[in-house]
Amino acid sequence: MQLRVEKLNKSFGAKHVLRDLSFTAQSGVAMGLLGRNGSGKTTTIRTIMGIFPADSGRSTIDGAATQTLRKRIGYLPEERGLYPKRIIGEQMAYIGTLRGLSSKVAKERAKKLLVRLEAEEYYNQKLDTLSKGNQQKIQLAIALITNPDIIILDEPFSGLDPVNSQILKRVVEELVADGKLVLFSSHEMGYVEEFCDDICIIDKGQSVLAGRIREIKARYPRHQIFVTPEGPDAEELRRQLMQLDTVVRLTTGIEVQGRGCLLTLQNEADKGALFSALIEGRVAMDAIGVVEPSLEDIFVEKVGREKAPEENGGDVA
Amino acid sequence: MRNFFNVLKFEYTGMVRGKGFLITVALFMSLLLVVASLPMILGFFNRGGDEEIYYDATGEQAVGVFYDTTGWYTPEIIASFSPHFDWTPIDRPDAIERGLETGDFAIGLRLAADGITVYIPGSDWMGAGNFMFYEMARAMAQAQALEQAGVDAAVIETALATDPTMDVVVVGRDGGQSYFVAMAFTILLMLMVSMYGAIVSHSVSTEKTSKAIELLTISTSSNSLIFGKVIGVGLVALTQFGIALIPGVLVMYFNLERWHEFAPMVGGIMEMIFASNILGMAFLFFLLAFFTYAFLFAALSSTVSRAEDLSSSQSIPTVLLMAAYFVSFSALFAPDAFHAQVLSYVPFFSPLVMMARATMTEVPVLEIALSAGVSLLYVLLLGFLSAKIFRIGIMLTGNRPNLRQIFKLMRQA
Repeated sequence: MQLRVEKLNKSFGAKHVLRDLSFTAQSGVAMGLLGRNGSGKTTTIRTIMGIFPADSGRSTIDGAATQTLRKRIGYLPEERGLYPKRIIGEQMAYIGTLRGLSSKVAKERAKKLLVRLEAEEYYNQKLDTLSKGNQQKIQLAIALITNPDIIILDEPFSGLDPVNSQILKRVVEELVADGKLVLFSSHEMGYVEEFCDDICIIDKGQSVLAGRIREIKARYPRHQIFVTPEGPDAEELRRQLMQLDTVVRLTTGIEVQGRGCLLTLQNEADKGALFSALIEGRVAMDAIGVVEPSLEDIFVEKVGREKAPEENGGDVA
Repeated sequence: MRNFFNVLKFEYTGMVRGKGFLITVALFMSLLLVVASLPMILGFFNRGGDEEIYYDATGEQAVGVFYDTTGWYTPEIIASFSPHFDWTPIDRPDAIERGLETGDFAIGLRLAADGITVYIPGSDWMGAGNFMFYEMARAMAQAQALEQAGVDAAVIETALATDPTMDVVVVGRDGGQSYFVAMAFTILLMLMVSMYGAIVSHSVSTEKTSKAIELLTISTSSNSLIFGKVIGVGLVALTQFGIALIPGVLVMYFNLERWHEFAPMVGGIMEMIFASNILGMAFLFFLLAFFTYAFLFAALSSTVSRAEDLSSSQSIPTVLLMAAYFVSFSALFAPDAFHAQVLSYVPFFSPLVMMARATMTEVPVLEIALSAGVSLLYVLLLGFLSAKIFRIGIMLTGNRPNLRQIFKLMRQA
């Protein structure tokens, strides 16, 4: 199954929010839609869900318009909310029946999902008695109640404590393992990097970077090596490294950084020679590895140079 | 269609399970049952007694005082003209006002050769007895004149004691009874429409402010959501009033005879309601009025994104409802007036005005059907319009939009 977004454009009055936005997402892969606040992530998702129409362009699932397949999509909106004074089990079953389930099946699924999310004790409680994080778990359970093939989660980690974040992370991993197509928006790079295979970075409504994270990272130079010392003294490690002629010859700099040393190679191809030199020189080290740019580094590089739209006085629905 | 019933069921069960619903129903039902059973309750407490159980409308306790400047009147003469009052003569005119102020007596009378002066307390602001005193003074003056002309006092007494009988035969619908029925139905209808319209309004705005609207609109059509919600609330209204009213009405229906004895006017009104098709017609126009205003309430509250703006969104339907109420009130007095006839077919006015007219006078069935048909048509139009506005409500954030912005978004959606 493939979700394809092609040249989406959307304006609100004079504000052009999406500009020829395109990306694709596949089943069995989690895709992160990244962007700063007001970059157009939620507008993209709402357009895919048909909450409002695109001015031009289209979004399809295996060729069919997503707006016609809404009941096959599990959706966690950014603006979360249900009925504060109603029993949680009742409202979960209600949404389930609206999305095509029978009342009996909807209730059964609601109970199972709450167990899976470690929230089964809330089934007979009113929503407004729960904390924000637990209300979010209920919303996630509702998004999954029809066992959809496609799941779209808008900022799913916002407002979750670390324990609940881990529960959500586990659920998303299970969904991906089950072959579901998972698309979620976030500006929390740590979570995205942890379990997303694909990303699409949006800036001012445009896709500025899209593809496999692994491949994106591979495009960046891999000429820096980080060495972690056996003991606590990174300065001692640096002194050791400076005494090795081969190491000094192959690098342009050796700096202490945090708990270890960062070595910058003159030539990326000399990685193997450097590793051999470190081993032969019996350097007291615990770990050695090529330094890759983090997703945050990539994100900041792509979108961090200019002011975000809302910082210019803008506002995006 | 399936989702329409899902929404309806959710709205209906949510409300009828609420404590507010149960308390209101229990309270109203008990109150109406007590009122409907009044003749039996009072009869029970009066078992075995020969005295009448009814309130003595002649006012035995009434105390009067009079001051006579003519020297002709005696307490006996006064009492013979007004046997229901216990008249006491006084010799100082200022004692009348003082006595009224202290509450020593209820009415004062100053009798002079050129006429009478009636003193009543300020609390009797309607001056209900003034006409009766005028008639009494006229009879006394005539008797005095006849006596001065030499007519025998016994002849005068016999002549004045003649008590003619008068029967009133009402041809067609009794206007007096109809007036009370129409007024009661109009007030009840207005109260119910504004009360349950506000519930619809609150329900819609809760979905908007609690952000549930986004999840709902991707789960089903806005038509299902709005029609299910409004009809669900309508059913709640019928359930609530059905449970509260039916037991009391049944008690009255099976005890009509006792009501005729106990309070002839109420008995007559109840008989008129039971014997005619007024109840069916009131039910029809309640439904039409409720749906007209409920869809308007729903449409306007869809444009609200903050709970504090909800009351301002309710002002338009409330003002319209009040206007319709006042027009229907005027139609009670002039059911065939031009404005009443025209407004019987105008949206937002027709259910109330036509119901008032049809209760007061014999409106042809065709006219009633036409008015109901027109109402039904714009109920449907309002319903679909309301669903469309609800659908775009998700895009309406911040300040309340004006009509132009709403229509622009509706075209885009």
